[in-house]
Amino acid sequence: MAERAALGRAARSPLFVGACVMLGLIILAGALADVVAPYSPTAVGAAQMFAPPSGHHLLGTDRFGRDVLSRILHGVRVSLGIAGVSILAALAVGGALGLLAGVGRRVDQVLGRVMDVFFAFPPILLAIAVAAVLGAGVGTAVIAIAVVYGPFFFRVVRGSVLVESTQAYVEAAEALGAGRLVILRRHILPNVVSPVVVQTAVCLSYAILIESALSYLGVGVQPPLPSWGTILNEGKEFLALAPWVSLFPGAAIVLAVLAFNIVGDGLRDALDPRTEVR
Amino acid sequence: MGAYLARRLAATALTLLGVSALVFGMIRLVPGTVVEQLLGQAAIASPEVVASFRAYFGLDRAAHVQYAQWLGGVVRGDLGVSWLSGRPVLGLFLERLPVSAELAVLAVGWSLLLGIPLGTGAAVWRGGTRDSAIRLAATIGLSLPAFWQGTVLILLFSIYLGWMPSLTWAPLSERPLANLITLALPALTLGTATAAMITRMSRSSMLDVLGRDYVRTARAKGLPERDVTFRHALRNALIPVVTVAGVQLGYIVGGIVVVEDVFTLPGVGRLLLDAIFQRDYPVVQGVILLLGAIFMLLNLGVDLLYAALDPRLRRG
Repeated sequence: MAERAALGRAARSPLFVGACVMLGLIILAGALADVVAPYSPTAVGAAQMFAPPSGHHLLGTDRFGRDVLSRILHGVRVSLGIAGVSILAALAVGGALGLLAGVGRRVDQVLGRVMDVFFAFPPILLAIAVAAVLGAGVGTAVIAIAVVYGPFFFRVVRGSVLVESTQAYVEAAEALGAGRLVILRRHILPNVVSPVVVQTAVCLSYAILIESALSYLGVGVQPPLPSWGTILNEGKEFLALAPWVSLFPGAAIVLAVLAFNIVGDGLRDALDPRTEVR
Repeated sequence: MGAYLARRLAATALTLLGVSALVFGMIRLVPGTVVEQLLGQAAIASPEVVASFRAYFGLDRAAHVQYAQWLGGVVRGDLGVSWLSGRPVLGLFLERLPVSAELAVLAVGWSLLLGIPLGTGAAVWRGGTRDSAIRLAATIGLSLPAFWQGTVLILLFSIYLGWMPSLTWAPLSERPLANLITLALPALTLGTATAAMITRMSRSSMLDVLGRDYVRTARAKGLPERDVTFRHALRNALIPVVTVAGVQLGYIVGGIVVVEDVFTLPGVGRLLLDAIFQRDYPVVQGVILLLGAIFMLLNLGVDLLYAALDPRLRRG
């Protein structure tokens, strides 16, 4: 109940609402890309190479005469799709291991040491390392991001489980003879949901950044598939000639990441009592 | 302090061992088709080259034997040689390190100079318009992809305004001014997310401290608000900020790869990317291991500094 009230407060912040609307619009644009995009994202036009933004091509065209707006709209699916799937995988694996660690002490020690190794790398470096080994591609990007953020979910879930385990209501349930798994599922799990939701929103913004960075560097999504980072990668050689090929997909990344960050911050302020608004 | 130091060092050593195992193991995850392709190319050269490739990919010996041998080399500073240039990996890395290190220091430097005053200001002005503006600016700073920010800066300063030579490199020792001008935009780009994090951390840390008893005591005994803020509150509020700055310095180790690519700087990030594209695996492995080790040692250094600043932690 308290959570619902807190969410209600967040919903009255214009910034939070604006970010939610922005996210909704981006997702809708991606879902309806086939309908709303003026051209096919891969249709080439030799006569239209590097056309500046105009009535025909709102955001201009690239070196193959492909419509930049259409590529960005179709890129929503690729960029947000990879971010979503990879964070889901990170949540599933990291979260499951976190639950496991929160219950057994021996498991906790072993898993904690293993996770420390993954935390020993800066996130983008770890992602690049995974990409370097597996070779560029969509699957690689998903695995790379999942490997980077799995340990984050592990830490959040493990921490919450440990905190909840010491609460009086858990001791009471134990005293009443409830088994460990029952306590975990009925009592602890529901309390872990809030921090996980916050972590998911924040990680989604990082995932978009990492996917686009990998693709920009040329070790993520490969052309002609349009991800926002790939479009930027294809534009970087022609920056002076056709800046619009680089500027607009970057703006799309900023809008999406900003929206996820604002939603994440809003959720944290609302759901996490430790960071109450002062 | 001694016990804390020993515990922390032991944990770091254990993690470093894990890191080395991971970096060693990653080469075994290279898809078989790629290995066959490389072996095919090696076969053209000579049977000896094929043999050395087979040995490198662990096709001729048990994994643990290979790992022990490799680790033995690493401990003695032998990270292997580049397949392309035939030069030792460690030498290649150390040659490129000054560029990246200078870039990282500049980036963290400006982000501290900007982030601490902004965060402190936001805390002092909490709830007001200035606070909201600073918080929003920090959120935007966290949302800017470095490669795009760098692209926009190059476009603005080099192409439209013609102010900065963005693509020529001058070493600090030879032409210091040209060097600093060349690194200005990359350092600005690299430090933006860090400045945003430090602003946020300074704000929340300052808010925390301003609510403490000793600050109320300072106010109660009639000290001017400025003295309360700067003498009593800020000093203590900076302790957690030091930690964040250190952790951020670590993240900057990763960001360097991206920023060096955007601004075509000859640092270790560029070395890593070139090696990836040319499948020069010994260099890839060596650079990742060394960057991981640097990241860990930075974290260790920050933890120790934190313990030195905050006496409560030493006993914990």
